[in-house]
Parts: sequence; C-alpha cells; structure tokens
Amino acid sequence: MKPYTPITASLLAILWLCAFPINALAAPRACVATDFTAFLQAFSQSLDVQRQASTGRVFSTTVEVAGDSAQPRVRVLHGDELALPMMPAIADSGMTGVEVQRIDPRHVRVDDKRAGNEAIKAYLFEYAECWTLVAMEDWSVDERRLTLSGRPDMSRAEEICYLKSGIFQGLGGVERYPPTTEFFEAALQNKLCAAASGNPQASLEAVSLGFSGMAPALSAELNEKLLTRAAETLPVAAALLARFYCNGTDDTRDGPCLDPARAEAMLIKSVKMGGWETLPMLASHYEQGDLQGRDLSRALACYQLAREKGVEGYVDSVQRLRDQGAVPGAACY
Amino acid sequence: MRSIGLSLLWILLPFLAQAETRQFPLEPSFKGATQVQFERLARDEGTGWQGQLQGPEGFVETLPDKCLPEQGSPEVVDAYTVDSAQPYLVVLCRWPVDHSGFDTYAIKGWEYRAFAYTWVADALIRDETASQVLSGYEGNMAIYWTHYHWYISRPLAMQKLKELQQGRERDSLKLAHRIVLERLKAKDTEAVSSYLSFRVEQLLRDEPLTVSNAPLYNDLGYALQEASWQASAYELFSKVEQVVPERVVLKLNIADALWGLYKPSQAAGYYSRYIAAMQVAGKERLIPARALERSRGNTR
Repeated sequence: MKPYTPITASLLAILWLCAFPINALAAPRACVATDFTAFLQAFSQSLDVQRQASTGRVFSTTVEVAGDSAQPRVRVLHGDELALPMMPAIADSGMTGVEVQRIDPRHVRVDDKRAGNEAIKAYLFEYAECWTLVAMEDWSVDERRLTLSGRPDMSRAEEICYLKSGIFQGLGGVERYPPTTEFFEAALQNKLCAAASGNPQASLEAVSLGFSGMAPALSAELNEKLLTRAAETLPVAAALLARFYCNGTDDTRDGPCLDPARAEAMLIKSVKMGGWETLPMLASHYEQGDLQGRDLSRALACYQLAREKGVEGYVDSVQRLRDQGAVPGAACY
Repeated sequence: MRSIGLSLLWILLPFLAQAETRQFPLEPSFKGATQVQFERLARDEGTGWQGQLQGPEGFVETLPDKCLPEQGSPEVVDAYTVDSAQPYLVVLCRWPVDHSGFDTYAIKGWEYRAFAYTWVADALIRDETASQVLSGYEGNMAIYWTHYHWYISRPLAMQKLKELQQGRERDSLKLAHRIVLERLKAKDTEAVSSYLSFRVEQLLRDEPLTVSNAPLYNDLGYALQEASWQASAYELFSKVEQVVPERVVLKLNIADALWGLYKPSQAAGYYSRYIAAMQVAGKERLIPARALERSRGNTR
C-alpha cells in the first residue's frame, strides 16, 4: 500500500471540505405538505405519500401474544418491510376518532381510535425536511394467536372475548404503554361480552374492573345483575355483592349500610361457600355493629375461625375483643 | 515557533489520516477466514464500518453489508463464528437512537443490527431470518416503557441462532434461564420482570416441569422474587415444590416469597423446615439470620 504523504493528506482535507457546499446545493425534497393536518389527510389517503414518509427507519410496535398474556414487540423496519396501507383513509368530512397531539411544531402523535379501543393505531411524525413517520403502534390483538381451550361454560366468541379481556387488562395493568386508559375500557367491554351468557367469573371480573375506577363504572342495575349471578357460585362475588348492598355503586361512600340485612346474609353466604377471607369482614361488622347489631362474642368467634382456616393476621383483633369482654365459644354465623 | 507547529501538524497528518480499524479473531475459522477486520468508512460514504474476512495466504473477502446507520455514529459490538450444523458468521453493530423531541413518547436507546452470514456453494449469503431475529432495539419507547433486545451478548445470540436452526421460534428454557441470569447479574430487575412476566406460562407449556429442569425453574422463581414479583415467584415455587418437594433451597425461597406476601405464619413453617434440613445436612453455619429470626413466627 502506498504510504500517505502530507500532500495526499491535504488533498483529502480539501476534498472533505468541498463536500459541504455540494451537499448544501442539493435540491430540497418536495414535501406533500408542510401543514400537518393537510399532510395527515394526504398520508392517510395515498400509498405513495405513505411510502415517501417512511423511506427511513420506522419503529413498528405490534402486540405479541403468548397463551393468555401479551407484550408489545418493537421491530425496526425499513421501506418495503412496512405493510401498506399503514393508515386507513381519513375522510375529507372530518377527523372523528382521530386524535392529534401536537407535542411541538416538529413532533406530532396521532392516535387513530376509529376501529375502537381494542384496535388503536398510533403514529409518531417528525418534521425534518418534510413530515416523516418515526414510529407506528398497532395495539390490536391477533385473535388467531389466542389459545382457545373450548370452555364448556362459554361459546367460542365469548371465550375469545374473555381471553382478550385478560390481555387488555394485562397491557393496561402495567401502566407503561400510552393507551392505558383505552386498554382498560377494551378489557371491560370484552369482559361484558364474555359474561353475556352468564359465566360467573367473567361477571365478577367485569364488576371488579368497573369498581376499580380504571374503567368506566357500570350502572347499578348491571352491577347487581352480574354480581347476583356470580354470587351463586363464587364466595368472592357474594362478599362483593354484600358491599354493593351497603354502598351501592359508590364504594367510597361514608354512611350507614343501605341494606344491612341483605349485606349480612350475603357475607354469611360467602363464608358458607368457603370464602374464609370474608370472615374478618364479617367479624369487623359484628364488632362495629354497622349491620344488624353489635356482637363482640360473634366477632371474636369469626376472627378465631378465620385464623383456624389459615387467614393470616388479626392477632391484635382477637386480643382487643378479649380485652373488651368478648366471650369465647360463640358461633360466628 | 509558529512554523515549527505547522511543520509538526504536517508531519502528524498522515498518521491522523490512517483509517481506524478493529479486528475480531474468528475461532473456529469461517471457511478459512481467521479474523474479520472492520475499517472506518471515509466520511463522504457516511460514518460507518466496512468488514473484511481475512485468512492465511492472503485470503480476503469483503462483507456485503456495512454498519451504516441513517443517523448517529455506529459501533461494531462483536463479530464471531457460530459452530453449528451450518457454520455462521455473526456481525453485531449498534448505533444510538434519539427522538427526544417526542417528550413523553421519546424514543431513545440503541438500535442493534445483526448480520448473520453463511456459505452456500462457496458464496457468502446473509441469512435474513437469523439477521432479523438477532437485530433489535433496546431503550425507551415512551416515558415508562422500555423495550428490550434479549440477544445482544455473544452466548445468548449463539444459543438463539442454534435454536433457530433447530426450528424453535420461542426461547427454550435453557436460553430463558441464561437471559434471566445475565440480566440479574447486571441488576436489571426491570428487564427480568419484563422477560419473565410474559414467558413463564409459555415455558411451562413448552417444557413441563420435571426433576431435571426443576433447578432452572427454581432459578426463574428466584429471579421473579428479586424483581419483586412475589406472587408470581410463589406460584412458580409451588409448582417446583410439587416435583422436588425435598429440595432444601426451595424451602427458603418459598419462605421468603410467603414473607414477601405478608403471610408470616406460613413463612415461619417453611423457614423451620429449611433450618431443620440444613441442620441434618450439617450446614447450620450457612443458614441466613433472617431465616432464624422469621422461623420464630414473629409478625412483620
């Protein structure tokens, strides 16, 4: 190899310096539109514009499903690796279901909710020489990847809803991904779909999600209907129905129990079905006297029974009741 | 004085202008190539690296791809051969990604681009599937959302490539175990929970628990515990217990998980059984102080 000399080095330096004016003179790219709204309209309606805006690297997120759980998977795609169309056409008449978030003049996030909360698509656009697509998120769940077990208590469609509800709840539960609120709403809709033919677990989960505040609250009628059905077989549902009888749909309500007789009956039903975790709740009500009267000895019996059944804690409660004169040996229910 | 400085500059320029190179020895050799050398590309070609296979008796072959990102300065992370039924050469490059302008949706991290080559009828061919699987992005996709690329280090990428050749789409238990231990060693518990929360159930379906793989599942449970996923850890330990109920360290793991789940009475039972087993084995000195303390049934 010929050794470098000062002359060749200086020639290289001159050539290197010359590269800048050449670049500066390069013709600017023709942009479809500099105004973002006009660009978005064109992007959604033209495959050519979609191709032009995604000639570089695009971060593509899809939902990967494994069994009953899911996780977003990010891939770095280039040009023809991207499936077209990337976005369904936005009609000239309006942007209903398309949310545009202008982060700054050069960065925009678009959430396309036209296909509902369980098929959200999001796009990140950056303005360099023109508007370019940086990232794309597709939060729909591919139903073909779901593992159906053929549950006897659900139709095929209900089982798909049930599996999807768990997946969306899981995606929302970690509170990491941008459409967290929408995931919970999609989870609730799918739980209601799964509960349509009376599945107790799906019914219970729908009510619990509504109560959690993460998804929109269900009406009082729907809560009672779903819980009554679930409480026929599930001790936890019976305990939740007791809470509903006391507080209605407002779980933060502070006041006397609205229907103490039915609430107490439902708590006892829960325990009789093997819901040992309900025992401390029942004990607390007997101790407070906020259902059908105060009975410290029954409260003591319930706490002791809870401990016998392996419910942890409540050592202090037992001691406290003894100090207050509760007599051991009473029946809890 | 000024002229001396200028003269020195002229003398040094040829050395400064020398191309920057990196070499990676290939063991075993790759069709006669014993090393791959990367040379920093001249600036008008972009800031990238070009690789060349080199071997004895002047053997050279230029790799068909360059480490050449659209933006950012690339690094050649590693280059090595994979000795499998069909030998592979893997080149791994990475470059920074920075779209901070999206604020809470900022994409900021590293893009890893892998090139997996093999020989087909004396032609150097890039295996597209293998290259894609070993490529990926690790970094933020939004403020609380970190995405991970699991096959960065050489042992993990080699294992993944071998499994791909065997037709395995999903990670084996052995690979999952390695990935988790590597992240745990780096104290990256977020990565551990991200990897396992999604995969444990699938792993149990693909490779059901047996006496022989129970230690691997026990380790995954321990990793979940370290990542503060106590309920999932306990669930997995309980399954391991059904297969190897006498495994001593498992009793301690279950006890710790129960303690973490605020079940001190149940935990005390497991701590006591663990202590008894250690005493029988004559290993009293190895019993951690917390086990002795908590075995007394002290509430939290």
